[in-house]
Amino acid sequence: MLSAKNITKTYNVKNKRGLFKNNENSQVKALKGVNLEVQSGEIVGLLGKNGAGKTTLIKIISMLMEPTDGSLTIDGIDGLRSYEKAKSLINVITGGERNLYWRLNAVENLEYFGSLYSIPRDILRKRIEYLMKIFELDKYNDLPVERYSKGMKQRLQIARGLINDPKYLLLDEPTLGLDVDIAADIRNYLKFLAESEKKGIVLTTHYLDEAEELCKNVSIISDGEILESGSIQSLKSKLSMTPKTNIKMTYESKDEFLKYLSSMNIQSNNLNFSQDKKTLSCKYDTDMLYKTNLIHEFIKAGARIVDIRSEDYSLEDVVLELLA
Amino acid sequence: MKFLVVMYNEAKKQHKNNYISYEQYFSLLIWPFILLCNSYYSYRPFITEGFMSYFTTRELIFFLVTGHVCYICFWSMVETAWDLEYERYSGTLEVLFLSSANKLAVIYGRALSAVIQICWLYMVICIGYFLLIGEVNFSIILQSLLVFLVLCVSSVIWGGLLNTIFLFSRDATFLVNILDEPMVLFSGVRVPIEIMPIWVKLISSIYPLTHVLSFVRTLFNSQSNSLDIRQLAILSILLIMTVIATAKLVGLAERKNRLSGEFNFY
Repeated sequence: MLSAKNITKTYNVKNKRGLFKNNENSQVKALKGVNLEVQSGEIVGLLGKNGAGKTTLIKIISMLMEPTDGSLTIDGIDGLRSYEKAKSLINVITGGERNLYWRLNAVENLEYFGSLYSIPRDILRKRIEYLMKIFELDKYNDLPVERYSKGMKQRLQIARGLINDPKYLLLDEPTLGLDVDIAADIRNYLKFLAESEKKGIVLTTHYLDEAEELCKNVSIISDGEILESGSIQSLKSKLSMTPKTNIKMTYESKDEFLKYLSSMNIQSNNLNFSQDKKTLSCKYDTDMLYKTNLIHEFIKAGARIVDIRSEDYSLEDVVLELLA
Repeated sequence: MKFLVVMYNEAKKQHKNNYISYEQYFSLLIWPFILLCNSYYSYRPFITEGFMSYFTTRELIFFLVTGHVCYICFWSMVETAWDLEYERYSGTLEVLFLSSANKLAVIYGRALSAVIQICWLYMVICIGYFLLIGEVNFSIILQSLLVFLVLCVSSVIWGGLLNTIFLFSRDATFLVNILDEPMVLFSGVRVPIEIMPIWVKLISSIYPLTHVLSFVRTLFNSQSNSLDIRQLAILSILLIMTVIATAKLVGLAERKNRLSGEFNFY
């Protein structure tokens, strides 16, 4: 298990005032007592706005950065004291086209990054063969990376992140800027890695649909603090978010319709009228809608119901609610 | 053994990433040749007008050729250090520090990648030298190999130090300017140290290139033609001290970057 407990990070920032003036020193608290746990075979989502502290947390867990306070253990190894030993258990994959040598081909890149982990030559060769095959890069080995498409580069990034066969993978926006079909492929690879290869994965993403599809548990981070953690369902119930129902109707006369609603003391401020097509749409709490028999009243007011659709809360609603 | 494997793979990667065409190898010869011409023709008016008493023309050419060849070998190390800036921008420096590889091995691997440049330049110069003197014997070949070895080891160790400086910050260029540019003056590339004031002599003693040049010039000088053991001993002590300083600085650079998280700061 990967466990980060009470992680705090404070940066000392020098504010330059001028060539012959003393710099002003200030402190920025990027993380304030953050906890995160990841089990083998589990994908944990780390969600939050830009500047919330996601990347700082990823850097600390990957041992690229030292926290000011807190503890980090990776399969029983102290990640702060014995970080050189723990590094072989972890790797990081970022989105975008960085972290690769563009003039080298895929095999040359993987050979080099593999050599940094002192993997025996024959094992490394087999591993590269396997990765090139599962990420469908074996057909393009004659090409330097600079001639790869964005999706191919991202697949190679993931292969690079797996070169040391890490038990835990930290993914920072892995589908950033990719086409829909390529992003779907990458998500399938991630599911495969968690389910079949039992990798523990931490995923930061701005695409909440992606987190909803992949992650069993999510942590929502804001201003260096974890606001909520748990399964998406548990977060929804914790926030007592009730399902909503969307209704679409047509009407003959807007004035008569509103007059009737007014006589029945029904508020009309959430009705969205479309003048040209004589349609209107509205959204109500599902429970309230059926308790007050509101649909029946709409029909009495002269409306014709075209569509009723119940809508569950998405992860996006949960995040927005929490961040608000 | 792991140290050597990491060092070799780093050198191999650097070479593949930086030397992508045969034209580059030939361009390596043009620039040193221009530098040499620049120095020679700066001196030439003084020779013909009889102002120069220190050198004969032949001695001056020997002095400048040895000075420039050795300087270029050391200068090629600066290029490998500057290249670390690219690694920082492209995020590969972060991937390197993400791994458990020995960072000192990586640093020396980078410097080692420039040895191919040194080999090529040195080989062409040696062939030219053999043609000029009109004979090739065992003694000359042995001398050339010894100089090549001293030159490679010294410049790689110097390159390791320069690469380490660039680990500290993306803005390390000014430090290289302090360490590298004055090397031309202080190491006696174009002007003999012997005629310099004492303060220049003191500064020059910290540059490994000063001692390499002194060793090479004594060895190849037709009058002395001897192995300067004293100079070799001073050079060895200086290089050992440089290796120790580099190892300490690599540790400090990693510590600094781990605190600030600035491996990919740009």
